[in-house]
Amino acid sequence: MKKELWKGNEAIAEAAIRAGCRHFFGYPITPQNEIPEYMSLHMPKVGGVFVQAESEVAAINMVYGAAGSGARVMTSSSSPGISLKQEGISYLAGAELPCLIVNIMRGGPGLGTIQPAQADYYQATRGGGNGDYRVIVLAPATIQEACDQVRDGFDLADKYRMPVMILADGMIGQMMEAVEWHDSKVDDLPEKAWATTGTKGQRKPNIINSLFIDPNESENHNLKLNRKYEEVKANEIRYEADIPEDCEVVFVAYGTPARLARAAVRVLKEEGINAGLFRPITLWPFPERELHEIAKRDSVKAVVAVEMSMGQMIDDVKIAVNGVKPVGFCGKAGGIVPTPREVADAAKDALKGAR
Amino acid sequence: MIDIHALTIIGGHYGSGKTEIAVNLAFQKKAEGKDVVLADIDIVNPYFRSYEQRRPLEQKGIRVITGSLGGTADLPALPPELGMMFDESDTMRIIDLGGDPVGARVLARYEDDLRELAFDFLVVLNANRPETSTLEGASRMIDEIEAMSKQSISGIINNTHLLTETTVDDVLRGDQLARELAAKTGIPYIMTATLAPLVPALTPLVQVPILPLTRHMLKPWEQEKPEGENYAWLHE
Repeated sequence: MKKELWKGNEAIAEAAIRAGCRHFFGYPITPQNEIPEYMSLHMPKVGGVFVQAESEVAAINMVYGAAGSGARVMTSSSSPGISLKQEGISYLAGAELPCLIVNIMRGGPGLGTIQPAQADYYQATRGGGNGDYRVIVLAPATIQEACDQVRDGFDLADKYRMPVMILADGMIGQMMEAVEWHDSKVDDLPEKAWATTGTKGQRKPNIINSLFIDPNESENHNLKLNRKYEEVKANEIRYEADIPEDCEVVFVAYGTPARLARAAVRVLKEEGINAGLFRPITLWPFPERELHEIAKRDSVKAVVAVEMSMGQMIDDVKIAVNGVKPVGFCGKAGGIVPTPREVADAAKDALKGAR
Repeated sequence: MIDIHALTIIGGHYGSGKTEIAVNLAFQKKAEGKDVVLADIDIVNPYFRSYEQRRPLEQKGIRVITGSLGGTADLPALPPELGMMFDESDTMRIIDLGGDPVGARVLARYEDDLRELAFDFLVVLNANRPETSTLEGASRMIDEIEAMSKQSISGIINNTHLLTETTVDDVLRGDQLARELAAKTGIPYIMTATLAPLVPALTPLVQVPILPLTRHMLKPWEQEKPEGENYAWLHE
C-alpha cells in the first residue's frame, strides 16, 4: 500500500480501529489528546462506541465492563491519567481481562510537564496497582511500529487474557512519520467462551471477578496467574539488537532514546568507537537473557542505559547484565530530550570508567 | 521571490507543513532584507512549533512571539503583542496558526482588527495526509477553516510531502489536487513548497512558483547524523 503521513497518536487510534477495536473509553490529557479526538470522529463511522468518561477512573472501569463482556476494548491517557487508572488495571489483571492501555508519557511526578518523558517505566513494568500482577508492556520507537504493536497488543491480550500496555514517550505520540497500512484480518478473532455474553439458557453463567475471599482459593488464583506470566516470559519476549563485530559499548534504550542512541552510534563510529544498540521492545517481559549474552561478549567493555528519566529501566539492565560489565547511564527528565552528542559522551565516560 | 502580503497568515490541516513553511518564509523574507516577525499562535500542538526555532530565527534578527508559554502550557493563550503587530505595516508579519479548524479558531478573536487590513490567509495542503488526500476531504477542510476563523482563504499552497521520503510524484499528485481544489473553491493556487533538492526536477513540471524549503523542524535524533535520510529523489 501507499505510504501516508500520520501523527503518532492518530495512527495509534486508526490502528486500533483496523485491529477490530470497537470500544474506546478515555479522558483528555496532553500529549495524547489526538487519540480520543480521532476515536470520537471515526468510531461512529464503523459502528463503534466512543465515550469521553467523567474521569480516568471511570474510563478504566468502563474498559473492565466492556472487556468482561468480550469486547475488543482500549483506553489511552498520559502519565498522571495512567496513575489514576492503576486500581482498574489491577482489577483487570486480577479478573484476567484482555484490553489495550496506551500511555503517551509526559514528565512527572504529579502534573509534571506536557513535554515528553519516560518516567513511568517502574509504574508500567512493576505495576502501579496492588497485588502480584503483570501487564505486557510494548515500547514502539517508530510510528509504524506503534501501529503494528496495537494489533499485536490486542492479540496478546486475548491470547493470555491480560491487559497489555503500549508505553510511548510524548515524542512518539506527537511526531509525524510515514505509515504503510497492512491488511489486518479481524473477522476471525478467537471466541471468548469465558465472557459474560448472556447464557441464553445454554450454559452456566460466566463470572468476571477479582475477589477470592478464601485464602487457598486466592493463592491458587495467584499461582495460576503466575504460570501464565511464566508462559509469557517464555514465549513473548521481543527486542532488536544491532551489535557490530568488536562492539565496545552497548546502548540499551527504548522509544525516542533508542532513536537518539542510533544517532549516537553513528557519532561514535566517526570517532573510531564501535558502539551498538540493544532495544527492548517488550519492557515486561524484559529480554534479560538476550542482553546478558551480549554483555558477556569479550569485546564489550560497558553497557549504557539511555532514558528520558532519572534512571528506571537501568534496574532491569543491571539485573540482565548481572555484574559481568559496568553499566553507565545517560538520562534527562522533566521533558528534556538528550542530544545524540550527550548520549555519545555518556558512552565515552562509561568506557573510561571501564578501563 | 514569492509575492505575498506583508501580513500573511498560514493555516491548514495538522501535518500539512504550516510551521515548516512559516519558518522558511521568515528566513527567506529576512534574507530579502525585510524586517520580519513570526507569530506562533498555535493553541493546539504542544510539540514541533515554530517557537522552538526562536534561537536561529532571533540570531538572524527575526522577532518571534508566541502564546501558550511557547507550547509548554496546554492553554489556549494568545500573546498581547499580536494585536500591536497588525499596525506594523512596514514589517513582514507571518502568523503560524494551529492546525485544522480548531487551530484557525483564534483568528475569529481578531475579526475586528483584520477587517481594515490587507493580508494573505494561505492554507497549506498535503495530499499525503489521509484527511486531505481527496478533493472532498481537502475542500471540507477549507470550508471548516473559513467558517471557524471567520476569514476567507486567499491562496492554496501545495506542500505534499512524506518528510525525507518525499518523491517528485508525491509533489505532482499534490499539484494536481491543488489545481482541482482551486477550480472547485475559486481560491487561487499560488505556490508549491518543497524540499530544496526536489526543486530542479519539479520546476519544468509545475506551473506555480516553487518555494524551496530547508527542514528546520527536525526530530531530536535528526540534529546530528540523521538516520534513514533516503531522499529517494536524489537516486532517481
